[in-house]
Amino acid sequence: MTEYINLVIAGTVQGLVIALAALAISLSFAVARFPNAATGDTMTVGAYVAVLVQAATAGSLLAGSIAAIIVTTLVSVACYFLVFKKLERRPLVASLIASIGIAFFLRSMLTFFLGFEQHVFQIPISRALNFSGIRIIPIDLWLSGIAILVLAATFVLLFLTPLGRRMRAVAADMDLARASGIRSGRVMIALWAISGVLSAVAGIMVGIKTVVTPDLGWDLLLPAFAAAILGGIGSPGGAVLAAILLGVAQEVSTPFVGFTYKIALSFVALIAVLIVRPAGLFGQPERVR
Amino acid sequence: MTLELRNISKRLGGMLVLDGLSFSAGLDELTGIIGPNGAGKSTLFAVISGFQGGDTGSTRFDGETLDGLRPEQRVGKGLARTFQVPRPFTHLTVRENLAVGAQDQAGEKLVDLFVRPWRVRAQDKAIFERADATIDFLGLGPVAHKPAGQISGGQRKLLELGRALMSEPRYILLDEPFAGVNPVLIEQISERIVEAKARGVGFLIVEHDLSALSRLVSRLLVMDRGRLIADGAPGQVLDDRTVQEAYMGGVVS
Repeated sequence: MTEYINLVIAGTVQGLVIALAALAISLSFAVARFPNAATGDTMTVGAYVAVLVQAATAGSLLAGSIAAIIVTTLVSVACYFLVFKKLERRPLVASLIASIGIAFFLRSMLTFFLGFEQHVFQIPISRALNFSGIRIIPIDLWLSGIAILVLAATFVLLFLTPLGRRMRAVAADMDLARASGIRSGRVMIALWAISGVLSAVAGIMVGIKTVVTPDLGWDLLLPAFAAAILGGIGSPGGAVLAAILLGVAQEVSTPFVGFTYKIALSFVALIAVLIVRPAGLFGQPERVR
Repeated sequence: MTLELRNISKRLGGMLVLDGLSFSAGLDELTGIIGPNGAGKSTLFAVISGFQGGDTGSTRFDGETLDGLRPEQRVGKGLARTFQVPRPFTHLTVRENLAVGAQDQAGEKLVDLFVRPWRVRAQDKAIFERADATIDFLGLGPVAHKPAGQISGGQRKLLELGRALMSEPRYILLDEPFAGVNPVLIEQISERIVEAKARGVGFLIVEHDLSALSRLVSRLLVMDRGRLIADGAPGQVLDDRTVQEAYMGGVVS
């Protein structure tokens, strides 16, 4: 029993990481109207910047994280201006394909300049707290706390600020938003900046939990996509809940399907949802609209 | 102080929907536009509000050209519009729908939220005070906190007018404000329009309900096949033979 509780805890941490990426994808789908496939590789960029800056600044994870957030935000907003803005009036597929292209481009740049070598965050080794068999690693507590904080901040921004109100308006009806005088360009810049921040935090978390490689973000893209669809496309709250569910389900399935195949669970969940309940687990398909 | 259209043409799918249309309307007046279906009224509104570009011609608003401006920029100039089928932001409350319509929001930029949160807060408070005033003005109090997707069709019409008013416009293009609205509400909407006019907001109104419209406006324009075929006081225009022929012909066909 305690073994399962440990798996649930590990799954929750993993789920929170997926939730950050899934939220970025869900927001891009709701507001910009396409799921951003470059989310994963933007995470990778964030992880690399953080790990390299940490190494250069004598081990300051804070400096690394701030640098990572700045860089991914710039990358994300630059992608908007250079690519997505130009494709705004085209069908969804054009932007989706372009975002896949950006994903490959970012990864190629990383491998070209930094190679395939693994990088590791310098994290002080700490002993797991042991509550009669239920083990909690302090770093997991920290990571979960930060992830929850970032997720909460995003929802506060979305539902309690004038900017969030405008984002939801653009998500709901672009023409009506324009007729209301909303300058959609500013809303889009905010969207991509938020997406950049979420990606950086997710990337750093994955990097700390595992190692930093060029495939770090791409490997997480599928579960994040699965969560965004599972939660009901364009529903940010649903995406976060689904991501945590998926994270827990993946870990708990490990004793049955083995470590290598737990990732397949995302595929199964994705296909099952698309067949059985295309609208997602939570509510209607056009929840945000 | 006029909205001035000069030689506006627009071709859609091989059809000449607007055919060299020219007129000017006073910004402090109530002007109506009628015409059979397919006369080009909706396209005219789309061109004036910037949702579609005209193929030829130019639009001036109080002496300033609007050509090349995007819809949201025209709203910024004081030119608002409503839609024929009101489609509020269904998951936002009525109050939030109105707040979205307010202009010059400090909270529009992400950095402002962090750099000047107090200003964003103060302005948001002012916006919601105006939204509440608009709710009172339109009698939407009972549904103010409901998601706009749950209110009735008539209430949506009022909300649509309110959203346009929230941008503090000088002129509003109203697209069929009375369509599908019961007589009591038509009266109520007309009163609100007259009252808004008294506060200095002008209206250009496309409407099929001729009796309600002619009671409201001081000038009536009649369109047929993308052209203006009559222009004058409502009583006089409706007695015109060419108008009656075009209109009846249009309705029958």
